[in-house]
Amino acid sequence: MSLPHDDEIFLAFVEEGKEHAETLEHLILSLERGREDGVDAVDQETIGSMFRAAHSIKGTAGFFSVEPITVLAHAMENVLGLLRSEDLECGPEVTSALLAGTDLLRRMLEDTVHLETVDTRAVLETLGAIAERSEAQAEARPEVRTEAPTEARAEAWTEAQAEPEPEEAELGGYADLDAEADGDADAEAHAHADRDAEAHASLADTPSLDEPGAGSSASPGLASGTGTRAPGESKTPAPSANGKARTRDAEGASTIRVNVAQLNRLMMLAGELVLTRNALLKQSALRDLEQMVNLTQRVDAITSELQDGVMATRMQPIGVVFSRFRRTVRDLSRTLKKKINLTISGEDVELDKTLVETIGDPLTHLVRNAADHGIEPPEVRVAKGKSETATIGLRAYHEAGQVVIEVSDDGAGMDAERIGAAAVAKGLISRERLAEMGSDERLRLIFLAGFSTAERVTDVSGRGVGMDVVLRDLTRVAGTVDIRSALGVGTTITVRLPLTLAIMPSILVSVNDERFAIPQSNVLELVRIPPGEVKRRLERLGRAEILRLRGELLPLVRLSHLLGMKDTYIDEQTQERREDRRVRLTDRRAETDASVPRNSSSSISLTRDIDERRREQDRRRAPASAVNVVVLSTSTVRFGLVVDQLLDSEEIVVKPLGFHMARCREYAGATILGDGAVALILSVAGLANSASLGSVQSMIAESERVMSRKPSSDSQTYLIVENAPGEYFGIPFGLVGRIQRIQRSSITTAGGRRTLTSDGKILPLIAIEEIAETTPSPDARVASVVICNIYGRDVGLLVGQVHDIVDGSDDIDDVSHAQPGIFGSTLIQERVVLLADVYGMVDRLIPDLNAMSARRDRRIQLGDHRGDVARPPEIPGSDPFFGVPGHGRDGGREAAARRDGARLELDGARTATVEPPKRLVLVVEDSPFFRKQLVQCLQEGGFDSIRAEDGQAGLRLLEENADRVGLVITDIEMPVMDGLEMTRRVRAQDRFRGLPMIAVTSLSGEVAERRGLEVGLNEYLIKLDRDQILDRASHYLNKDPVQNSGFGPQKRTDDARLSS
Amino acid sequence: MATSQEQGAFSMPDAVDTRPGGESAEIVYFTVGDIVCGLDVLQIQEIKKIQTYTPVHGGPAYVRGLVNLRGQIITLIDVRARLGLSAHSLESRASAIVVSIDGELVGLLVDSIGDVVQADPDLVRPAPANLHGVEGHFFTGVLMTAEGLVALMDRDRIAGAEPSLLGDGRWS
Repeated sequence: MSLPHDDEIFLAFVEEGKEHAETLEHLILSLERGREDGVDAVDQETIGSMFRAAHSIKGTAGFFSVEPITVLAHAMENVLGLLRSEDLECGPEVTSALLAGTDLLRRMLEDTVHLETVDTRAVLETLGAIAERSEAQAEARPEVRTEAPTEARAEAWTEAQAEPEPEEAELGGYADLDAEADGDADAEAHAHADRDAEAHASLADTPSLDEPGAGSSASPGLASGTGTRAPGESKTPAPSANGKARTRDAEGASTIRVNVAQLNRLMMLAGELVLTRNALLKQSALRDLEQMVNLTQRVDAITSELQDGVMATRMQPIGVVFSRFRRTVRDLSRTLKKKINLTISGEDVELDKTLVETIGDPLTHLVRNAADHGIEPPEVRVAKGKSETATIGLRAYHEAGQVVIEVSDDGAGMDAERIGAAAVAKGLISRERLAEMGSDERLRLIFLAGFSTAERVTDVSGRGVGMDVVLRDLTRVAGTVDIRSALGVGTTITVRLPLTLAIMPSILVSVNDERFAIPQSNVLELVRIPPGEVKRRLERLGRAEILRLRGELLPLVRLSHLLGMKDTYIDEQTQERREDRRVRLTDRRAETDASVPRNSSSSISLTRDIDERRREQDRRRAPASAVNVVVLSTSTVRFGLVVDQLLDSEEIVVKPLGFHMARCREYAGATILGDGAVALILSVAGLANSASLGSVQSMIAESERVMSRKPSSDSQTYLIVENAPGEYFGIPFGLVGRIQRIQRSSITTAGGRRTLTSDGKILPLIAIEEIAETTPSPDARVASVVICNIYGRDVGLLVGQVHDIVDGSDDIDDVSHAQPGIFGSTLIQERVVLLADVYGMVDRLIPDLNAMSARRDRRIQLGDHRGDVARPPEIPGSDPFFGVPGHGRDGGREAAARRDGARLELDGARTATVEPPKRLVLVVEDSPFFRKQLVQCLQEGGFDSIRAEDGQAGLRLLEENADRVGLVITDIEMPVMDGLEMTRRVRAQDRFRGLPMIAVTSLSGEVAERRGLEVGLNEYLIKLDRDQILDRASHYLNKDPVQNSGFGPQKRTDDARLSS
Repeated sequence: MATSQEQGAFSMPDAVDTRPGGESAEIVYFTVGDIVCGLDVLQIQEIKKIQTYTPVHGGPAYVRGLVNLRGQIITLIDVRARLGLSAHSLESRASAIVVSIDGELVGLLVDSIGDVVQADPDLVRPAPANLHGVEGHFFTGVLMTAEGLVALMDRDRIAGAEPSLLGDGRWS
């Protein structure tokens, strides 16, 4: 048969035929889903569409006399016709046969030159048999259904086993079905299985796979056991992850459809470029510089447009790849006997053609893994209280100039511990190395070559078949892969890809006069910290350096350190390059003050003159260089890269690094800059990896976690002080205003109370040993004072030595060490740290403080009648200080707190006369410790509370006490139902629309905050800042519209104290 | 011998006996430290003077850096470092011999380039285990000339990947 293979009309037929085949498959699958969902009635419209698709293929194929296609399409049309006339029931055998037919149609259309090689006999016979049988169907069906399947399956199985030739095996399978007059899908699948096993065997032999076992172990294993069909193979004749397939792709699929308008535009641009070039040549001969500059700009503009245009022709929707997974998942769910629902979104997202072609295999792998290992068998799911039908989600979207593809499942999740243990057992990593790893890093172990080769992996990790190949495939196209998994909840694998491979927008930076390019897609922002602010804005956390950037902690890494270069800096006065001997960026002078690990960042304003004096000193004695930070992000970490200079942004052409640098993870490639010099392109993921961010990373992970709202434990930041040697105390960091080193001689004792005079103010001093039974701090000449803001007043906590600021978990033992002044203990860096209850200490040691502060505030109120300070806050929502959530973290908090105090005092004064009914506070918090703290704190403020340990319980409690609850204080991360979800549900009910709801959380980020406000939270507070919590509680409970008096009971205790 | 070497490759043996018969190979002489080396011209893509390069921090010690060769980026191998000789700053005469390894261009940074001479295959002897303190496996043999020995470099060994690069040391 001689076909006009390159004829344009014929090609159009092929394209159209493929589209019809695609439609067919799609519809068959939806039909099948409908049946599984128990929809018995066959949708006539669907059948109609299918019939038309088959008919169109038949028609056009007939026009070109492509007999095999015509015949097959005819047979399918026949069966579809019977379905349409309802003479045939749409059973599994029918859909399977139709799918098999569709596969063959597609195979023939893909390779019209060799379509004779496609064996259609078996499918034709099956389809024929179905059609013939249809008349007798009504009576014959019941018996056939009950007895035939097992037999058919067995026979097909043996035949398929016995036949070494895959084509024959397939034929045998079908022939057998035919003879038995029942097409059980399983039998057919078995036949396929062998063919697939064969295909995989050949795949394993090709040199392109480093580890034959890794690549093929999944599929033959699956195939022989359950008989699944690898989608790549079933659709296109050549197996995919294989060298042969690539070459075939290169030859066969090297055409692309381009919109004519687009082509015209390109032509026009090319024409324009030629004209401009001519002009440029002319002007360069004339040496007319001005004209040349103009022309160069035009060349620049045209080139960019041309580039965009050419790129656009290469863009293809990702749906091309996604759509095939409907089939994959359908087949997998059958063979694995799991109910799986596939949700797809973002099919329209466009990607470079080469990328679309490359991601097929890795994605297939991921989807198969999700179905095979991620999703539990239905009975297990039911036992776990999950829905029997699992969901695999495929999602594509644009983010920061990249295309993000997510493969998620709601299966069992991956166990980081077991993966780690398995990696150690296989000798892939050392035990020590494992110990340093966070759980995210452990999950990534499945990407190690060699991890997946052992058969036991599936049992151990539940994942990991050939994941190294997935990673390698994706890395080759500059993609990154990240895993997030929660045990029992599911796994999401996120693949990030560049839009195109050829040209990449990037930022140029320099270190030691060497330039590096950073892909712009990884750059969040550029931050330049002027010399005078370095000390104030950089902090230290253990050995790591931290930049506090709008409330988020960002670990800093010096690029020069990562790359093993010497540090230099440019002297701002002389512009000379000098060697930098500082150990830390914050070191602004030779000797560092160890007692001041952190200078600002908290909401309390600094003692101004001290700070300024220090800055003066720094400037004189230290390298006065600014710190330039590139804020980078990968999907797991966010960090700041410290560089010498931030240069231009430039579109660079990425060139691969030579094989000698195969191990250099820090680089993603190299490029040639405008001046001809070579610059290395930094790989942000690689840098993040080689920078051992350690605990810092886990903190970042924590904030990420908050943002992603995954259930896990809370944490609280503590200032760690060593009072007596070996005795460590943690002070909730939210309370710490500043830290001061003092001479003991400057302490004055009056009336049994120690005080310190600071800035003309008297600072009451307390010490832990005054209340708790602990060893007193040694009587050294110099002591440290941690100044905390309690009840709006500064109180100094006298301690021996300030150590560090660390993150502790919520795993707090509030029994063993609990005593007055100590609310519990926790383990931080393997040391027992007693947690100081600063409020408790103050309440016991300086019981008047609360009252004192109130009195003082009253003085302010009485003395100052100007402005809003004394204005009673009777207009809800217009409050200048509380309209903005998170105000307390700005510098003006002290002033705000004072003014607020004044206002509250005013409220309190009236409260004495009008005693409103008690309003209840609902506290929703999963950590028993924090719950207790919150309740206690509220109690002290005179509020009664009811408590729930998760969102669901909270919701129920709220509904039960709808008429009594006036305020909800909730945690965000909680099991069962998180705070955001609860808020959403509460807000969904009309009666709770105006109910104040506050989130109390340990780490807040802008994103988290925004999300919280979106769902209807009124504000976000930081955990354990009692003052603030009480403050807000009274604010809201007093503003309640039901009580028109607008005053609450919050200062009742204060009043009592005042009057006493 | 020693003096002639110190003068560099330019004073190197003017000729090896070129015998008629076409069996002789054309050899480019170059120096690496004290060693006079040779490489068959057919194995060489081109020779390029090196003025600047971009260092690869964190790369293998023997990789001197990257060089822009007419829009193509090539890896510059410091032959001295590879042979275990002491490193030195870039000399003005420093040149790179560009060779192709598996289709990838690699530049071999050498101290100086000498003449191209005809070499008689009969005068090639197997490389000794140790040549001027350098392991013999970097050489295919030595060519005996009137002025002394010329070490014939094994292109694939000197420009290829390090054998120990097979494993992935990332996690260890």
